[in-house]
Amino acid sequence: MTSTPDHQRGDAADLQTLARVTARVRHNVEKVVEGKSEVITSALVVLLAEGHLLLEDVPGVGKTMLSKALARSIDCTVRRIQFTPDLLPSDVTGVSVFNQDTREFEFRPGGVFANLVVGDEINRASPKTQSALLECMEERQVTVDGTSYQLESPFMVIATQNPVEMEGTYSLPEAQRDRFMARVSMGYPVEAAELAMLQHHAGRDPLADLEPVTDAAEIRKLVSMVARVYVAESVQRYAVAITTATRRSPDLELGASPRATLHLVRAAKALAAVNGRDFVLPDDVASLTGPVLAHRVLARPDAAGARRSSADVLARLVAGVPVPGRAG
Amino acid sequence: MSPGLARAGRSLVLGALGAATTVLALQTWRGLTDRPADLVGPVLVLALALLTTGTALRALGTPRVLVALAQAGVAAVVVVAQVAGGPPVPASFTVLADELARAVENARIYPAPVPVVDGGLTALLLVGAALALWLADTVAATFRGAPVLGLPLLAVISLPVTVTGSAGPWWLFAATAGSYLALVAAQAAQDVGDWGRPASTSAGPGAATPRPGGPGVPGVPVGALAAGAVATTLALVVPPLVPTLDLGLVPDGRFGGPAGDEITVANPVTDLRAGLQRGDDVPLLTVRTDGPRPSYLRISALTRFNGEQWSAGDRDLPDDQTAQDPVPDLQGVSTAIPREEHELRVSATDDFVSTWLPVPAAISAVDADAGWKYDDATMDFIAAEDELTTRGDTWGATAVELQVAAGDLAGAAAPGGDVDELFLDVPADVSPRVGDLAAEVTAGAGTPYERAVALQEFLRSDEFTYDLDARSGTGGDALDEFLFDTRVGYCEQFSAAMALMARQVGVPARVAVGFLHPDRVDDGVWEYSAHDLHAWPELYFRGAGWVRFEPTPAARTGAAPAYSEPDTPGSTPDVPRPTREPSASAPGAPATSTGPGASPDLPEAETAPDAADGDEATEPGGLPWRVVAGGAGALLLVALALLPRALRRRRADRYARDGAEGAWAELRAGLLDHGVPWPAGLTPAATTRALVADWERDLEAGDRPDARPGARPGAIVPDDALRDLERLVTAVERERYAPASASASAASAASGTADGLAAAARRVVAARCAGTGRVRRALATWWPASVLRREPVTRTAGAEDDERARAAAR
Repeated sequence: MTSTPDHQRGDAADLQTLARVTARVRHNVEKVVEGKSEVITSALVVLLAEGHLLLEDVPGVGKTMLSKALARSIDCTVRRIQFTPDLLPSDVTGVSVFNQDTREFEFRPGGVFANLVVGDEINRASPKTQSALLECMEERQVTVDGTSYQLESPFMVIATQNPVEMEGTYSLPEAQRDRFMARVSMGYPVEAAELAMLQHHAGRDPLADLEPVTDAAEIRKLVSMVARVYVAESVQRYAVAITTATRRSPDLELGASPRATLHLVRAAKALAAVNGRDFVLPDDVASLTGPVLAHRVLARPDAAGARRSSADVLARLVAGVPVPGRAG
Repeated sequence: MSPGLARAGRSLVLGALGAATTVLALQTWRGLTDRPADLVGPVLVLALALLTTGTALRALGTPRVLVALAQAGVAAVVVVAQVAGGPPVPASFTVLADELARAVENARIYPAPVPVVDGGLTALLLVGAALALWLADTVAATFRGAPVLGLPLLAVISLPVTVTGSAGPWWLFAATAGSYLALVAAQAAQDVGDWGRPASTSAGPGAATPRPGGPGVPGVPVGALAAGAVATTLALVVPPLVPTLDLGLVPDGRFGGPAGDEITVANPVTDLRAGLQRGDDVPLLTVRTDGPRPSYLRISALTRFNGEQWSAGDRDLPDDQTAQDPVPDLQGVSTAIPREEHELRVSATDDFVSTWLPVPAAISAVDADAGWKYDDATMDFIAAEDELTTRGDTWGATAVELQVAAGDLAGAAAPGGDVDELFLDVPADVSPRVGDLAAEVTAGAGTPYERAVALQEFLRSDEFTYDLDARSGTGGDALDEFLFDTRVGYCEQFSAAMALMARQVGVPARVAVGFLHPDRVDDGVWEYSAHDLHAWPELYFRGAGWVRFEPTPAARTGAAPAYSEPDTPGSTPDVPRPTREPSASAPGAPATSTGPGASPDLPEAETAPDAADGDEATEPGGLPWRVVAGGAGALLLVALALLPRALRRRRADRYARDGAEGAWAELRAGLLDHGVPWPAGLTPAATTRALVADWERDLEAGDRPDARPGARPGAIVPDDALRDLERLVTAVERERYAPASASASAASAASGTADGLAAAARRVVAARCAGTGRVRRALATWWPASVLRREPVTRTAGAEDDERARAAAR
């Protein structure tokens, strides 16, 4: 093969654009959320892979700040829903209201009608409201009174939740956690980052200065580019081997679903693209098993008793799956 | 598992293997003492104490030097407790010092196996064992240098070889070698395990936990173990086939024999045994004489019997009794006995190293270096100067041939005060059965002479069999076994038994060690060789002096001296029967120079001369075969030595044609060759991260004792190497995971031709292994480790899974 096909040359140029745009967004968000570039990258990967992100951590570590900063960096519609126990499903999806003037029912869109939906403290809402949101996430449409309304594209929900042990919360059932492509934890900032935060943010809203660095149209283009990233069969097998291993592991009560495999490979493609590659490496897959799979699997009580989190069990499983390619 | 516990577990494995290997090696010392079982308990206690202390201290993270010092202290306490039986107070150490001095003295006096009398060697052996075990734990577990442990182990095994000429049975060597290999393998596995799996799955917090020795660790290559096993087997099997490679482990197909071509005589009895049992007969002395065929050339007289062993005893060596001074008249020999004198000129070959000077028992003059001195009670010559030996030396002596007749002896009175009481000394712990037997044998014998004759007749009777393979030893159980049970022995037993029983019936006696009779080389030129070594009793009779008897059966010695067989006066030729020791047992060369009866006390001169020649005649077929086998073996060894390099080169050629994968394999092979571990089971990128991390660790810790070669403090990983590595990784990732068309185009676009990549791989290896020692470098060239590893094979993740699923379904 001596000549380079045009479409490939185009791909290479596109990939550079993609890498540039994501770098810009990341840089922008980092102005607000310091020292969390890994979390930011995960968020971008989920956005480009058309998934939804679950941010889980104790209050006050910047979950909302991160989602807001991400939304601000992209010139697109953003809605924020603060979940409370009295929030109704219709507040999320929208409602048909009888218009006195026109004598007709007209649809008043709910909180999900936006490119980016920030669902704050999703585990404070009632299960009924939670499931309304999750249904929209999966189907990317809202059906009210027999009429379907398409959601915007790109569409991404960034839901934040406090760890379930906290008071006054309804934890998300496993089936609904499965809808989220990835779950990431913010973690406490390192001391230097916390100090920098104090110096920069004291007294004014850091979000106010944030300018959008891209827009919805560009993100749509990037998403289509990610879909074209190549996944070798050996790498596909590798992903399947990992999820299969979670189902066979004696340490896990619940393994990963086939949807999880799908999400894993899609996220891996996005990660490869973000790293400027038009093909997926096993490393991409392996590095995403934590965020993509950990919230879907359930460690056995005895494994949990041995103080092993799902993430630890997964890390061990992945280490045991042979890497495709020549051994050695 | 906490890091401390993990560390403790790893050091425990190494420590336990090191201790086991050393305990095995220490078993070769069993031959040094006659009660080896006594040492087993203390040695095990020592090993356990050292292992426990070491493991505990290492688990606590104690600095390594402190661990070693603490263990030395513990070893000292244990040894003191075992030897002195008390707490480690100054008094106990004094006891230990005394015991050590005694043990050194015992080692000087007694041949191995040293009887446990007076403490025997116990203190010395225990201290040695403590030192070896301490070294083993310190080297293998504390400093993680298992391969280095080979040197102390070699020292441990060499000790019995230098003392007794035997390193114990071959399986003991094999077991020690096996255990040592296991130790080296365990350490290598742990070193590779140190790599763990880098944090490739660490996008989420807490995902990256180091995994010492997890399931992904490839362990030690089977090939390396196989190489070790093959080397061990070769060491055991090749020496008997290749004469030039005789390492002494397997002399002449018989395990446990003496080593080397040299006969060293420092301790006459052991060296006598070693000389007789050796596979090859080696010329030791050449004698030129104007007289008849010389015989019975004495090296030393053993005067003291302690119940276990005959030893040389004490010597009184005044300054005026050198080999340049006149010698006194023959002790107790009446002038009535006719005598002849002959000049002898004795030359020792380079193979004969003795601190005793071989001369005839009866001499009237001697001409040798003034460093040789004699005791007038024994008339044997001992080197009174350091470094003085017989090696290559020549000396002269005037031999006195006494024409002793039976009648001279028959009338000899009891010795009275002629000789020292020592020559009648019988230890109290000699079994009373022996005394009873002596009395029974000599019942009816009135005079000392008749008693001596009766004893000799008894021992030369058909009831006793001559066999060199008999159990060695002349006291205690060995004597009992010889006299009452097996009645199988060789000159050592026969002479010792006769001397002891003679003393029991009141005849002063001692055991002489020397040469039996020489082979004729030329007119007046005779040669004594290793198989001619012999022992015989000398009994004292007033008027005849010290008279030689010959209780060893005719099969070995021919006829007994005429004067010792009153019933068969004259000299009846006694045709020797065939024996198990071809050249040694045959009574030598054709008796051309002396006729029958010419020399009544040289009966062997009259015996059948053909045995030796016959033996030579059966040999011819053997020599070429050995030469051929040796040549083939040598060729095989050369081929084996060259094979790894050739294999490695072929692989390098193949790698160079195999694109990015080939370059990647070349990188792996090159690093393995230089002893840099290759983290297996990782993706290319993760592999590179692990390699670089290890590289940096090495560079940072150049002063660590276990730093790998090439460590230079303050250096950093060169940028060029990092760029090359990145190029290799990108290329191999493309080849493996990118669409076929893209990888090909990218390869040509990125100037990443296969050749360039292979060169990059070699550059990385060169940079990584810069500063490697010369030995390591030579090893990498000639014995590249990578050829022993399995080559990487293509595999897919799913395939094994399917395999497992199928297996589960069945």
